[in-house]
Amino acid sequence: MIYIYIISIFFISCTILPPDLEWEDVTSDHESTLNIIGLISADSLITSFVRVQRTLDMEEASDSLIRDTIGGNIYIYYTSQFIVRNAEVVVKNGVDEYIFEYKDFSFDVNQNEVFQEVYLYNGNDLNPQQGEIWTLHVTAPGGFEVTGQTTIPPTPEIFTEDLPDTFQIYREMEVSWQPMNDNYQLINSGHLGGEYGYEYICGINQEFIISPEESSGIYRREWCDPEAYESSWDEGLLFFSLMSMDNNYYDYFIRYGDAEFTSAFGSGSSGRSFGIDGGIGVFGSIAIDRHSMIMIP
Amino acid sequence: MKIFNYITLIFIFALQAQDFGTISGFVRDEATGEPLSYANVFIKDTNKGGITNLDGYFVLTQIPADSGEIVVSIIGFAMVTQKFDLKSDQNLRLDFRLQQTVLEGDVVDVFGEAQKMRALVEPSRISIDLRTLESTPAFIEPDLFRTVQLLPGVQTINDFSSALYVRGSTPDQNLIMLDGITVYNPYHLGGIFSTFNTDAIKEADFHAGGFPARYGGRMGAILNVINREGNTEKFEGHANISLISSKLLMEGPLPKFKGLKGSWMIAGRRTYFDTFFNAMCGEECAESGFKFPYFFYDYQLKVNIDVNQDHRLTYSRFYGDDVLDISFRPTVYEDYDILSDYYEKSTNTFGINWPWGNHTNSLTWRWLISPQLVARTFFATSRYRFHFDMDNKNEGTWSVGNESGSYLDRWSFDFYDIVEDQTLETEISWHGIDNHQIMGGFQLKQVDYDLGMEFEYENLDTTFYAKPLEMKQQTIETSLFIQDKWDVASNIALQIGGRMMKYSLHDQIYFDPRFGLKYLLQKDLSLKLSVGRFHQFLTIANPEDETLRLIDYWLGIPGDRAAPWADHTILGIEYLSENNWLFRTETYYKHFENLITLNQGEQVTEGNDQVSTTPFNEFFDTKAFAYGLELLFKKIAGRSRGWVGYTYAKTMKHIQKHGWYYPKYDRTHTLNIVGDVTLPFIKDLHFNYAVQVSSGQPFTPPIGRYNHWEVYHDAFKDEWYQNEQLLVGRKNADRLPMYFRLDLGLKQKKSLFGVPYERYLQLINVTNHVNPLSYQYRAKENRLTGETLGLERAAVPMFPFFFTVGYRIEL
Repeated sequence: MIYIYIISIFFISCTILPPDLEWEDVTSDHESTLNIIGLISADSLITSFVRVQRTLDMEEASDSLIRDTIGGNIYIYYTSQFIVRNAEVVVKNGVDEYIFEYKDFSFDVNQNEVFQEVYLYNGNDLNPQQGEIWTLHVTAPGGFEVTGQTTIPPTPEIFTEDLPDTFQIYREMEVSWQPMNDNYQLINSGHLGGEYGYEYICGINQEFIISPEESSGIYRREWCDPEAYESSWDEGLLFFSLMSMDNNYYDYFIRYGDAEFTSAFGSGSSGRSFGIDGGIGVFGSIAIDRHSMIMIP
Repeated sequence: MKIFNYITLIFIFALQAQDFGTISGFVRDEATGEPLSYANVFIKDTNKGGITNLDGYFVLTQIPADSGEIVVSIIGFAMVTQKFDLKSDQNLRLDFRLQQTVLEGDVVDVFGEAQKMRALVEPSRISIDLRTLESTPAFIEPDLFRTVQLLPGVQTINDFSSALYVRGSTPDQNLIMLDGITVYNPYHLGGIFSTFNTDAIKEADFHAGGFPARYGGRMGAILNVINREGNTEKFEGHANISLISSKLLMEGPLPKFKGLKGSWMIAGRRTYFDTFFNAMCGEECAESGFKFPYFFYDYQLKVNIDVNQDHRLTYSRFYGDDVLDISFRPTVYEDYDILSDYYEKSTNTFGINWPWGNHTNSLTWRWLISPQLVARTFFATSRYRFHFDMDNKNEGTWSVGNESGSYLDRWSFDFYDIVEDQTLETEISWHGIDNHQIMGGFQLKQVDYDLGMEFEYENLDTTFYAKPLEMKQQTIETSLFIQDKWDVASNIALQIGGRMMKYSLHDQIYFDPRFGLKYLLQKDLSLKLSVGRFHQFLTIANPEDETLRLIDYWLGIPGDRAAPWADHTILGIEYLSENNWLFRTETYYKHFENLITLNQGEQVTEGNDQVSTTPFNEFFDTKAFAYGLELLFKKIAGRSRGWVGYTYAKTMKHIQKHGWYYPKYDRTHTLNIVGDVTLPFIKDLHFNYAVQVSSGQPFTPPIGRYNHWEVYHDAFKDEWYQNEQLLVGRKNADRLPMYFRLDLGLKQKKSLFGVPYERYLQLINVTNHVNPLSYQYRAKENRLTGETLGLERAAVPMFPFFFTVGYRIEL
């Protein structure tokens, strides 16, 4: 009898549901500010760019529906309220001044889209050199004004003379580079080739951060699933990319790259800024050295 | 030098004790043999008297050699008077066994409470006995921590946690002991329940701060849980079944052997929902292999052996685990293609095995060297561990025509923290000088920490193994302490002491002075002051803002970091009125230095084929302060009992990154009203209630939105992209709405076929008030255009209204 009673009460308990969530509007007295990413690249394959956005308060719409007629065709699309399209963006290196212009889209030589909603420099005389101090000046309607400063990092160098011509999978190889006194570097590797082209390959140290003074590391690669890929592959290319970065770039993307506040219900940030004054975001610079070699099974 | 003068003076006084005798002994319950602590023992028609300690032991020194009468009394027991004839220098041993009385008169109750109040010098101390635990509305079943949470000065983090935040201190700063053994993670189910089975508890001593020198190693509060010793007279048993667990307690005398006497007690409980679920699920679960994955259990064992009148050995053991075991029957996959003659058979298995809990053992030797000199030597081991183990294995064979092969993919992930504590302690108390109770001793504590993470991948050709986190430490804490409770005059008592500590990872020797003063302004109105320093040599490395906490990551304070410490200053007034109200008000200030706060962030990230971690040893230097005012009105006798507790508190922490901020557990105002009423018209029916009202807790408010810039680094093409995030204001700058909860309970004792039992009903959050755990946010959408408007939020509620029932049967 006791058992039955307990079971029945348990059943009743389970039928009691928590109250429905009551959604309410959220307001804030946040004053919008500019949110910038500016990257000065000393690498010929990476274009320097600046993105200018603003922060929104809690009740502000983040996009709006646009109906546009271009060449007689009607386009309907959403446009982000974060993006500031009519800012004046000027980058200086102490000698010259480079005016960056807004582009909705920018294409590379193969007509693949590489940039969207970005400020770019149209000329081809932007040529940052290591040790130079570059500054950023952004002025946007509404009285927004942001400045930034970055020091171009030293050009990284992989010591290719110490590397073999061919890398054999499952073997270890020591990769060495020019150590830097004050800058962090990041090394990345990738594989191109084989029947399936760019394949996913297992291996430790595919990407790692190089602290100042570090000069070498052991590299190893192996197949994740040898039976599936190994037999269909005989030779490919192994790529290394060694990136040096200024401290603003390192702090924003690596040192403080994780979410600042996390909980079970979301994450957030106080809006950090590195190399930026008057707004949030990052103004940094990078340089890259690359090397490739043949990789065989 | 002053200390040596002081000690010399004490010994000069001791030499004068020549024409007197000493009376000592134990006071026990006649029915069960349990020691009775705080019993009043005094010589009739004199001002000589004292109270029993937690072992039920008393010693009265400087008693004139003469005949007289000694009186023993305590709440709920019949008073005993015994004649004695004491000779000069005689040590007279008188043991008492008191009979329980059905007359729980108000006078007796007040008398017992008054004795505690008069005897204790330190403020902020309160004892919780089984009766208080059982008469407080419970969440599913009575729980010690839930009751302590209702006391002034104690804050809660949320409904799901029974962790104690005491006067600005976090739970890791509290020393939780079971029969003197440190328990590192005293919770089940992530803190919803404490590990202590209330059936086995005799009483719990809670010090909210300013504790004496005999306690050390923590800078917050002390909770010392004393288990029952077991019935020395007869075998007894109690069974209890509630909504989630069934409990059993058995106790009895040890068989008498060559003059040895003793008792034993074993109490265990286990949740049975898994068994119930699996039975109800039946064939469906049997086919899929699914079992309800969680249960917890614990048991406590205590054995006492009185070797002779002066020696007692006590073995105490606690063993409790939570187990999360998710496993499925292996999935077998078979495929055959008749055209290519391809055949493949594979088997996939996946499982998570995650036990966590505490295992403790202790052996205590109590030696009455002389009536005035009692030594207690104690060896204990305490082990806390969690071990999360996740395995996935996929293996199979294939064949095409005459070719065949096999494959294997197995990976496993382990995350564990093991804390092993071994403690050797000797404590000597000396009552050889009139008006002095001197206690000293040493403690040697070795703690091994092993916090790690392992990842292993295996196929037929290779094995990949990584240990991205490995933090092993061994620390040894050596402590010496001495304290003296000195009744300077009839209305002034001092408690002076100090604790000296050596921590093996530091070169420094630490000294914690402790000082307590009690001044009786008038009868039953006392003023108390306590000042002291408290060092701590371990911490937990959990993120301080985590919403729910299942487990703790314990670490010893690293060698390159200073030991955290706190200074306590407490001033209080206590008054026991003639109409059974105890009134206590205390104000405190605590200053913390060298605290460490984990640099929060994603602790494990898995990108590409690399596992990386944010190490647990990346900490921010932190300092803090806390102050507050507490009021306690406690009705200690009569048909209606309970208390009203109010706390005004402020706690602030400082780290360079955020500046000063309120920690998440800070609540400015807290009001708790707790009561138990014996209803007049129905026999043995009790009604109890608890009202909890407090200010909302701090949280970090979102103030806007922005796109956080992120990057994907690649050997061929780096990409910079954006990820919309909330832009937050200052850390913990806003407050959740006020917390309110009303819990009610009914309890009645009955009998069925001569078997006594008790039935109870508990109603939790009767008003179904929404108390937010946190807020969740979502974008508002224009349903016509699909445009994203601003954000809206909803409170994530904690306990809704629900009720539970239970039975307690006495065998």
